[in-house]
Amino acid sequence: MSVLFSVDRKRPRRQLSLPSSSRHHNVRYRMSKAIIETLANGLTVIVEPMLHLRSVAYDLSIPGGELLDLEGEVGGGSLTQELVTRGAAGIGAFELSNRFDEAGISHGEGAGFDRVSFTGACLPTSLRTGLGLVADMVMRPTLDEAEVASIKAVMVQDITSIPDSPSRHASLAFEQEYFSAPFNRPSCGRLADIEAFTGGGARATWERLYRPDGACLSIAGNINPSEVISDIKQLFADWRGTGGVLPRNAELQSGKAFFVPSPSEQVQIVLGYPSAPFLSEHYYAARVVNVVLSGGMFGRLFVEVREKRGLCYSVHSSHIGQREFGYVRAYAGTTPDRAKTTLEVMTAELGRVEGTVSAEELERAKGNLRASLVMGLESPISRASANLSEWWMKRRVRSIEEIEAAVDCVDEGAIDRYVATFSPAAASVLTLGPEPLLPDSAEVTLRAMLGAA
Amino acid sequence: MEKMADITTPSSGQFRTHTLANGLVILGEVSPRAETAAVGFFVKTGSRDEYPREAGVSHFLEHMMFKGTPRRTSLDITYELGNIAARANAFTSEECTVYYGGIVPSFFKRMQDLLCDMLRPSLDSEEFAMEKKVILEEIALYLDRPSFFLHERAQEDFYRGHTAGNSVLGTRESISALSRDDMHRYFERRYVPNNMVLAAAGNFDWQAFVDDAERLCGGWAPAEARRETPRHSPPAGLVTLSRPNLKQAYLIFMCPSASLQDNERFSLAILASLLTSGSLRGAYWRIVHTGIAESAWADLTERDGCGSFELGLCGEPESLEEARELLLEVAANPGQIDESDLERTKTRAIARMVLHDELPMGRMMDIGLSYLARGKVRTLDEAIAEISSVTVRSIQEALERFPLRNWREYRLMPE
Repeated sequence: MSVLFSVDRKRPRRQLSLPSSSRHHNVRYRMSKAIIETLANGLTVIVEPMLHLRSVAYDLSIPGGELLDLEGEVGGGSLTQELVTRGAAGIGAFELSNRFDEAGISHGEGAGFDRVSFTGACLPTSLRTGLGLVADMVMRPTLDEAEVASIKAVMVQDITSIPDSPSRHASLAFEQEYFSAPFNRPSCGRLADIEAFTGGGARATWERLYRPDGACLSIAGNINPSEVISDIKQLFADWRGTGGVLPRNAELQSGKAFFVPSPSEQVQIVLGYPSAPFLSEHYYAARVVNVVLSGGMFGRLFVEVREKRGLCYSVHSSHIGQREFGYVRAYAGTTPDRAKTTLEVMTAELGRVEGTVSAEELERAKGNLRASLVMGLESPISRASANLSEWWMKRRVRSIEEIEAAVDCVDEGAIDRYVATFSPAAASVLTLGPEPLLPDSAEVTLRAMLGAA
Repeated sequence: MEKMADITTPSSGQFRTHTLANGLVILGEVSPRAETAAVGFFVKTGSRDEYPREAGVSHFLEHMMFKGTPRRTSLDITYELGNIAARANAFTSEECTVYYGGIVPSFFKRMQDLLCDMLRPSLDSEEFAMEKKVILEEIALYLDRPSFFLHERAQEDFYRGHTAGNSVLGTRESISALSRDDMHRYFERRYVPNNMVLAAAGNFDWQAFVDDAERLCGGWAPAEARRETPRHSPPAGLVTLSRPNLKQAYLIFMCPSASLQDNERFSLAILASLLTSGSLRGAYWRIVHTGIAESAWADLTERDGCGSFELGLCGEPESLEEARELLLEVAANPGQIDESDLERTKTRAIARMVLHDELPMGRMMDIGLSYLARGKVRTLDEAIAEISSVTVRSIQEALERFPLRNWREYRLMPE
């Protein structure tokens, strides 16, 4: 049991798990040496050598995830991704898994919100093997019809078990209500769509999305860039075509109250309001303000809600900046008799930023943001994924110095301009628990997950 | 079978140890090329060291370490952690309590100063009353997690009559009844310098680290801090629990097995990995891959002087019997092992360890926890050698001493 974070101890354990660590603002940074090259087939390759380490990591991502599922097939992309890992280039799932293990590659494959990712970490001598296996999966999957039923069975269990986890239940319900389509699709898929999905649907999904043009392969670690790029050109030479195009702009629901009835011990509170998109001039001011509100143990939400009042164990906010829309998502979990006060203190703190950030608080927040922006860039896997995410949003990869400079520009004026543009007065709130917390809350069920659009 | 990758590159860190006159052990692995450092206190105290009326005090005290010292208020600690941009946290288990921070090298000294100060807390009464509310919320949070709930009940039952089953969180009743003075007595009894280790890894100055430890901790008075570590072998049995509104069924099997000190632990940990997914007979391939349940696993849980081998699954209540039968089959002939499955599983385990220990935070955790468990340090190369030495024969011998039988079974079902 940690003072800050809690971890569910017995969950499925088939994911890539590497330790996170941090780099900070006063480290002597090397200028980023990331090399970006777009291959003839449209695949973008990013390579960054980190010669002081002994491992290397890769991340191949293609536009996909629930955002690019066809209507009536929500969850089909996840199912297809799992099917792709269950056999490729003439070998089955167990043999594929063995080849990764024999080469000492810690790997993970998954479909998320806007992409399907293939990641791994290993010693440099195994990188070519790992990339070869990834090439087999994306270019030559077996897509065996006989595997579809068992994948469906696990996905259906995942959906029907949502109420066993109140925090997940609340998150999914919030996303369903807060965003316009297709951004409101459940990450677990829709029950009716999954049940109707077929092997033919998986093949069509693979044909449509698993294409090089629009995809990105990012490598970081102890490698020689020209050798790696040459290997990649060979391995992915026969890959052809253009993948999916992501929708960009979601509409957010303002000023709504939602309620999910649940017999849970704790009331779950999820709150969202619009904030700066990734490409906005206000982006880094938004990030700094979020650190003021929710950075580590010194954030205002933690200090005011937990430290000074003891209202809950978990309280935090995040700034989520998609390319063309952004929002702040705040969360607290607390027992029913403290829930109303918790929500009141949270909204008061979110609403009193303008003109209240002291010079000391601003410096602390900027120092921490610089630290967390580069946090984890110490390890090859996070460096590879961070470079990929930069490219995903901006179509280029900035050096750490460029990002630091953007953070350094945030001053009191920038914060006031951000707060004047994006106000928590537009927040929507969802609560889950035995009783509604707010009057006139609209009662919500997981209809999207269970079938109806 | 293809040739396995050679992943046994030797570690680059320089290992150092020092013991203060009061018994505080200082460990460090210096890697001048690392970009960060990590430092932490590893205290050999946890819920198993609590008297019944203190249930939950170890974990509650872990929270109170952040709530003020004679030199710093609670907010001073919070803001100093922010000012030095530390990635700091703490955790409590049945066996130990750990406080740590990851940091850039230039702030190492301030992080060490802060940690050493935090470990002599004021235990202010007002802060104590406030934090008690947070702990009660944390208990409520875990009640909303069925897999955790079952795990707690299983530990409690399996170790009935043995302190290793004490709940880390305690109960609403025990926490509500706990006084500040109870906590202070526990602190005085357990947080003595000869019952803890200060460990660091990464880019830091060893001599300055030792000098600062001497200056900051040299005055802490030693005292005897004992722990009884008997073996524990409960009989086979079945415990069925139920909760209303549950959607999934949860199942855990436990039987006595190797402790943190038993040499068989490497063989049995590799066996657990084999039984989970390392062979086609494994739980993942037979139960999850086929869609019968959502998750299925085997695990060795090593404790101080005792331990358990565990099997578990989670899935639809309607399929529970089928999944349960398969899980028991998985563990039925554990000594029948394919050589190539074993080699691959070892390679995977070593690869994960090397990747984990490449960065200072991972390395510091491994150094501190392994010293706490066995009173000696192990280098990464030694850890790799321990896994490399596992053979089909060594697994079979481990199973002779710690067979997979006499399961106690725990079920959590919808009401």
